[in-house]
Amino acid sequence: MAYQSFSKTPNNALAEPMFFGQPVNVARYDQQKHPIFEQLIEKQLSFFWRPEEVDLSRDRIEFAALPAHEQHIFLSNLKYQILLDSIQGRSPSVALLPVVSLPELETWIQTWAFSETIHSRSYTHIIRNLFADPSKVFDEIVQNPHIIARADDIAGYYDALIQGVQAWQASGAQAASRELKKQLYLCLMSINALEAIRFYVSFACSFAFAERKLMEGNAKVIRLIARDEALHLTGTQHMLNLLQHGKDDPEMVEIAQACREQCIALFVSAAQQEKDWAAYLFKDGSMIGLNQEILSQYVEFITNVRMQAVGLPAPFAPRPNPLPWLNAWLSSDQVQVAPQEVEVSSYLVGQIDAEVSAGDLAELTL
Amino acid sequence: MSQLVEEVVTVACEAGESLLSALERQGHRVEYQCRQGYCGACRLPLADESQPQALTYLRPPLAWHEDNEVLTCCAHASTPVCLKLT
Repeated sequence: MAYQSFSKTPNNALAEPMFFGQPVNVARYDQQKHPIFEQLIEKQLSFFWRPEEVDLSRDRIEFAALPAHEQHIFLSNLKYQILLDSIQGRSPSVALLPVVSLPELETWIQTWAFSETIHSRSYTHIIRNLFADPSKVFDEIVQNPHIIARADDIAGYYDALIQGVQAWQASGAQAASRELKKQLYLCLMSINALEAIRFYVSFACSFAFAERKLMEGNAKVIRLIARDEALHLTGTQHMLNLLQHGKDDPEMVEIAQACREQCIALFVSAAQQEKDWAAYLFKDGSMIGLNQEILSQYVEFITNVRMQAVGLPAPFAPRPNPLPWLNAWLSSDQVQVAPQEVEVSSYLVGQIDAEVSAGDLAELTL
Repeated sequence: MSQLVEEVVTVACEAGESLLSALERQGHRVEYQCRQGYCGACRLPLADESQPQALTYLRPPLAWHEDNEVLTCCAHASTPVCLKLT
């Protein structure tokens, strides 16, 4: 079915599936089939921040004083984060928007991808601060075989869906094939693995420096990014669970069951790649508080948790969180973006108390 | 290493207290991240599925959770509830 910017066919979005139904025409948010996406939009908007708000001046001095193997860990981790957000700032829009059928979901995808572009801009802010010539770092990203190996795996599911959708649009067929819907489902799983495992491995590295009172400006930026990512992974968890539980497209329930083993393999493969990455990060030496073994244990811990959240079995032996100090860094209560927000970071939402009880009108006379 | 085996605990909340805070007050180490109901890190299974009526949310949670699970950071229990710590 060819994409239409504004279909003139009257459309009741409340009766449409999330994906592969009628294209969205009127962007209306007064009613939602899945209100969670409207709530996620509002939360994401309340989280708005700009990289320039964070002062990184001390980081430059501290980075120069780091031993060579720690500079390798810091920079490699940053390069990986740049890769992840380069993909996430672009691909949800290109892959998902052409096939979305609900206005609230369409806007959630746009809001989500926009926030990823802020993350990408913040990496430029960090690198500009560290180096007189940022190009060296950026140019190395596509030359690093360890980063490129993972880029293939992450982008592969997106590209398969994008190409499948383009072929479907060109074919003129009305309904999407089961195979195309399966490609969408696998792509959502792959996105969730990226947001829920890969990003968190990189956050652990960023915060390990800050635990030692090093590169704290960088950690402030990553904390804001982590707050956004928690919201994004909740978004994909909702999409996957709505599909699995038959609360959206009934055909997707069968597809989810049919490709369950493939989804398990997808997550396990992502976990293995993150373990391999840990070996590369610490190839020249560990740092206080983090080494290859602990990071690999964290990969297993977080993979178990994230797979269970999307209805998949935990593949690794249960274990407690090997990096319990990470939770304090990931707690949004401690995210401070501006002085007036010290107490409540989401002050833009619900700032007016609209509760009126009968007692409030007791003294009113006519 | 007590969390390696599944453990059922009974938690009672004080007025206005979240289940997560009550668990921490009782000395249990529970996973958490955002503490605002949108990340899902504090999700725990209910030991007895008949209990959800004792639970109310202090603020509406955004994170996904099954009917037999609770997001402890933003849930309050009016009567003691049994949760599985894994």
